[in-house]
Amino acid sequence: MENEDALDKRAFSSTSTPANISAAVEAIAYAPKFSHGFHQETTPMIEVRRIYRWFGSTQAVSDLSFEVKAGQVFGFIGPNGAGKTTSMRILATLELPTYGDALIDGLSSINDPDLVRGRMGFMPDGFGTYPNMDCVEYLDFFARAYGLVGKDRIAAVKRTLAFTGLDKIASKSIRGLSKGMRQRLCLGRAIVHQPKVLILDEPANGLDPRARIELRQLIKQLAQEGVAVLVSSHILTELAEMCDQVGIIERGKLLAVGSVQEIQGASSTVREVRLKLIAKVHEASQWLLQQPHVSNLRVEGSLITLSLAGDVAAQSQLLRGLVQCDFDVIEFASMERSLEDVFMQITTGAVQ
Amino acid sequence: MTAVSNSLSEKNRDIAEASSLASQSNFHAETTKRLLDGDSAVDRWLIRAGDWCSPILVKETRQSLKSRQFQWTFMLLMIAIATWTLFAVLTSIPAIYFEPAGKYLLIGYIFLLIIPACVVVPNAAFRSMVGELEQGTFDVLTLSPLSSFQIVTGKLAVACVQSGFYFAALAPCFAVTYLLRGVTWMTILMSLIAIGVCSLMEIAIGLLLGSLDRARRFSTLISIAMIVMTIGAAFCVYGLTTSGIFEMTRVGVDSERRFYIACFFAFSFFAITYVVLIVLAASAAIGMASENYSTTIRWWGLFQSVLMFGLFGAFIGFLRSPLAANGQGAVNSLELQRGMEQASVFIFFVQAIHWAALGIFFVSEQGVITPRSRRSLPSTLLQRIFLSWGNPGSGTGYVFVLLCLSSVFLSAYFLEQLFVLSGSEAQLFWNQSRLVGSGVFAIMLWGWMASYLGLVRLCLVCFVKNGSNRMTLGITLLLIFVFAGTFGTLYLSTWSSSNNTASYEWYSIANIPWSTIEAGSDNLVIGSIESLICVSIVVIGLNWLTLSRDLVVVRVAAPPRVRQELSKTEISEEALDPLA
Repeated sequence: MENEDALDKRAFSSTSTPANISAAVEAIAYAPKFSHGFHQETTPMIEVRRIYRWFGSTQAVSDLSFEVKAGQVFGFIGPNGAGKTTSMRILATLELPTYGDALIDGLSSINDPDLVRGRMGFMPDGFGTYPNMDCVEYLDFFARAYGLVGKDRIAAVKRTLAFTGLDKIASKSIRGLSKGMRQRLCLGRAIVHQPKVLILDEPANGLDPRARIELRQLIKQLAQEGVAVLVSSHILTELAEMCDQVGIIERGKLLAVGSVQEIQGASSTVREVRLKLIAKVHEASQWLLQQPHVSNLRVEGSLITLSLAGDVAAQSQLLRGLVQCDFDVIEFASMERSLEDVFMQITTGAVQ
Repeated sequence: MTAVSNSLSEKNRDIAEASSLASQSNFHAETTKRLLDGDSAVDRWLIRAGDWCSPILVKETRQSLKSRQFQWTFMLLMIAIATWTLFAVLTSIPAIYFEPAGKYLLIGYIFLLIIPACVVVPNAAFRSMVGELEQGTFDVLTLSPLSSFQIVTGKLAVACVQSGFYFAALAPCFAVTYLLRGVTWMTILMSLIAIGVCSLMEIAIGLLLGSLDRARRFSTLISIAMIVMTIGAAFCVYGLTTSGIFEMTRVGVDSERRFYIACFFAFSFFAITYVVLIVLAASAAIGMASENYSTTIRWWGLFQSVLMFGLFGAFIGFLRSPLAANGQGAVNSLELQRGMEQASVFIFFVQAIHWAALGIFFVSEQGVITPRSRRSLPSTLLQRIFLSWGNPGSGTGYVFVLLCLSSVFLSAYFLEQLFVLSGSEAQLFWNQSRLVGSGVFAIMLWGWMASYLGLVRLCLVCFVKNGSNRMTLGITLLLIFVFAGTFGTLYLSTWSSSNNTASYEWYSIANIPWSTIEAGSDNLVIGSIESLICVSIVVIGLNWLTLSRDLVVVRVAAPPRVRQELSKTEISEEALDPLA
């Protein structure tokens, strides 16, 4: 394997044409894994290795690396134009990176897309449906395309119809379906061959609350069955609820990655702390202001709210200090920040 | 009382809604069962048969048979058939009872068949491919394990099925024309084959055009070009078929008719090889970027070239056979010599056009081979020496074209010489200078190919490092060079003459049409051929210097994970094979 510097030089001297890309990719495809990343017990089902993608002078994706294991739901968050769709399309074999490689179940989506396609389901942003077909015909076609024949095909279509709840409208023309139903049909298409990996690009976009909840349940159910799911969405609360891992991407760069709790904790160097005292509120606030990491102190009756620069250890130390100074603390809590707060803090809103 | 009745009516409404929902649900469940399992023996048989067909064929047949375009075209065709039959029969009465009337009826039916087969179906195939891009279904289609070749051939098959319906609708009419006398079954068969081959060719071109513009930048232009092309081709095929019908009924001599029939079948067969080439090109246009499509296209191009050469040999054999002289022995030697020379020059030009068209795409290729393609490169020394020219890359493509062209030209020229010299009578009439004439054409064509294609390649290698528009750029450069060679030398010759009239000079060899005319009348000036050879050698030499990049690439083994996966596929295929 060539060293990474040499690879970098090759990467940036080449452009996005298929032959050059593949030449640059050659050395890192199927090479030992990169040193940074997650600690893993099992082989990841999705593995993105240092992907770069340029469209002319615009860099859509820059040094993107992450992994998703079987049964995990990985949420991809980012503003419009952040590079989410491009990254997903690269994984789905529809786009080529300028440099880097993406592996699905250990197979390169750049060099061996034909092997990757059978084990992956992709639901793009657009519907991609044939309006003059019935739901059952549509699923039947894709089951055939994925090589399912005879009873296996019929069983796969019936199972998919039941799973997506489309069995009641199976013979209805796609032209007459609502947006939510079309979204379900697209999900059905993506899972009809029981893939090991599912990539969903903005699946909840434009759906009503009920349809969103149902879609979320379907995704959770698939993950429970061992499918590795990569999902992007603008609705962050939804991702927070269903994702095991979250990656925040902006201007093609992965800014943060980890579980929702990790990201919420790691991203905050300053946390909001709220405490309530029985008495001596004024004295306590004076004492608190003398502490080195405390700022933004506000007093409302017996309630004190402050900003504490530091981690959970600093928080614990502050509480210990209050108790040692004989202040009667009856409530002490650090306020949880939502994923939206974290997203707003990490991203700058810059669009490429 | 009122409250009770309201409550009862609400309950009734709920029950009605529930039963309606239940009945709808039952209806859909029944329909699903019918669609998937089939509700009759024929349905079940068709569903099982569908498992053996291309999924695209099944899907598109379902779609097209439901489409209004098909329904309307079929209905209008039936009305037109009935109208024409009634009109033709009624206007022929009473002559129809004692005079052959099949020919005129056939010409009308041919016209009726050409419209759907050569205009409607090719445009429908084109729209089907473009529709995938417009509706956003192309991505989901490519995501399936269906190969690009399967997608294109599936769409081709659907178009053929549609055409088949129109042919079937007219089949009884053709039987009637035969019964009415005036046309032989061979004439009818040849007419149908001509329409079928033209339709097939147009469908393939439509699929290629539909695949090329994936960015949808020239969609309107391509759509208009497609419509114009199909209408133009329909008129051409109608003209050719009608003249063919008249020719077949006019020709009295058996040998001439046999020659005509042989040429027709040879051309039809050859046209079908071009359909395959176009399908391969369309598959490459929508296929995986990492896959090597170039080598297949190259070998197919060579196969066509060899086939053309074989047909040429058969033609020469025919000229020397008693069949050509109506069973009266060998044809007159002078006629034989002229016939062969004309055939040689014709075959040289056809070969040159064939390789120029393929060559411009080969020399415009990028010279970097993807890792996936490297897995199937020739590995042994002998393989590398002989087969490396089939590897993707502009340099190998350039050499491949020149090697193929040289082999075919030399073989055709020697075949021509061999056949002429083998005839004792022919030797008496053997004219050295005239026979060398066809050789001069071969050298000129080879020189033009080497120079113009080589110059295009050099420009692309030196000035265009990469980019997705290399093919378009290559074609544009070739046209620029050919036009510059034609008009530049014409201007130079006019400018250098004292009385402002162009005379053929040694440098006018760059002018392809003028040189062809001059060579045809043995008026080429001394030095023109020599200068072309010199330029060709220089261009080939310069290209040779930049060729190494394409040749140093060596075969790599497939990664273990891929080998593991492929071995699984092989095992499962063996398990499924009942003969294994």
